[in-house]
Amino acid sequence: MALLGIFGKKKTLVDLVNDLPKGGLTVRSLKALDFIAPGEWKNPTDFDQMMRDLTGETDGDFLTSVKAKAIQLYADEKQGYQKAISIYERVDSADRLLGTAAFADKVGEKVKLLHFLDKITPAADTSQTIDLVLKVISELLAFRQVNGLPGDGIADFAAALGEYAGESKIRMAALVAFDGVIPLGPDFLMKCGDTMSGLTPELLKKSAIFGKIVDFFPKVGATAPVDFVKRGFEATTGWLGGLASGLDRGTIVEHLRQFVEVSDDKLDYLGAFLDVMTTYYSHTGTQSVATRVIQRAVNEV
Amino acid sequence: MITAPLSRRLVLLAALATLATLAMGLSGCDRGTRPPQAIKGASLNASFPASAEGFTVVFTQEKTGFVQATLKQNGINVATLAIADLIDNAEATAKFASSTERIAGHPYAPNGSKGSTLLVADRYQVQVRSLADTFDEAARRSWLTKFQLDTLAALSTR
Repeated sequence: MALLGIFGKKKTLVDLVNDLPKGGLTVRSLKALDFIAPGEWKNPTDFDQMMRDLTGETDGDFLTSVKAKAIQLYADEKQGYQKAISIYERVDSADRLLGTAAFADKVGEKVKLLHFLDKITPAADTSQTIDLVLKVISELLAFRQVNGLPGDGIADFAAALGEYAGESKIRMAALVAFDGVIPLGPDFLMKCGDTMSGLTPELLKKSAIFGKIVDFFPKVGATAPVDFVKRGFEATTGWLGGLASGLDRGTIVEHLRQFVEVSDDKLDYLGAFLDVMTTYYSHTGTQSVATRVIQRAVNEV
Repeated sequence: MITAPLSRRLVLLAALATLATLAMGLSGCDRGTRPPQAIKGASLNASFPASAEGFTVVFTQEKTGFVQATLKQNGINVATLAIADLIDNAEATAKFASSTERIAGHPYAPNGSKGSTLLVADRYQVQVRSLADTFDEAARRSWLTKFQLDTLAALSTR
């Protein structure tokens, strides 16, 4: 699979899924959140197995035709699936600390946060709240690409959150835990709301995520990005609040301590550490897009 | 100085020829011939079954030539419902060539072990696929007839 990258050939959807890591920090941190969304996420990294699980089919010829259709649908740029994965990747790349992942990724070993303190800086509350909100908006933008529903997608997205399951559910669980509760505390949505009430274009532009996703904002009407971000966030706070209900730092940290060694006085660094060391958006985003493409492909054979 | 106006005229002629071709294509549609491109997903929505008697239809994807919904029974996902425009998909259409059975006048074909399909107006594949084991073939066949098949058939002659 790596050869494909060397020769610059575009990866197929099958390659993207099969190349996802089975272990490492991203996977371990997501598995630690199973208590928020019990049994939702099995980390699918085998495209053929995904097809069997999602379609309930076992016949080889039938599955071969579903696979060919899935590859074709994903390869067609107009379908929006590539854009969706691109959005998820851009969110991760905005806060990635390059070069350290391999160092921290020793399978089975506990990572000592202490080793990373000079490489990471906890964000100030305002920029943390904006980044969190922009991650929610990124999810909305990816949703629009995958589902293809007309308009700005805000109402459809808010309604669809209740149907979120599997990899999509665990991604949102990670959002509220890693980007919400850990850095900002259990009242993180209130803090986000405060920031939103004073949101300006200048504040948005300070976020590394904004510059990477603004091209995907809907061109419907003449809605300014600030307005779109505010409305998108407002429409989803109820659902996010439900998902975060009962969560506190202590509970989440206790689960993360299965693989990260962190002392109580350094918890401020934990959110920043997870931000730069994991790619949970693109990892589960790839799985979500593959799910939707397979679900469609089986209906087009 | 002479060549510039001439080349402009040639460009104009080419543009007129393109317009004429486009106009012919459009008038072809007006006369009821098959449109050359897949239909907008929004046009297919109206042909889906309505929620009723403990069942809820939740739309999940709407693309050009394709709409999908999840069928929930008392909150549990029991099946998917989909309409796909097969205008550019001869492989999928082929399975209906050997169908001997019709439901509501449309060719019927199983699709894998969990799917049941109808081909409407030689173009639209209506499929019901089981997600829950309790939702068997009989249920799939029954739900195929709950689509607005006449509305769907009429789309192809618009």
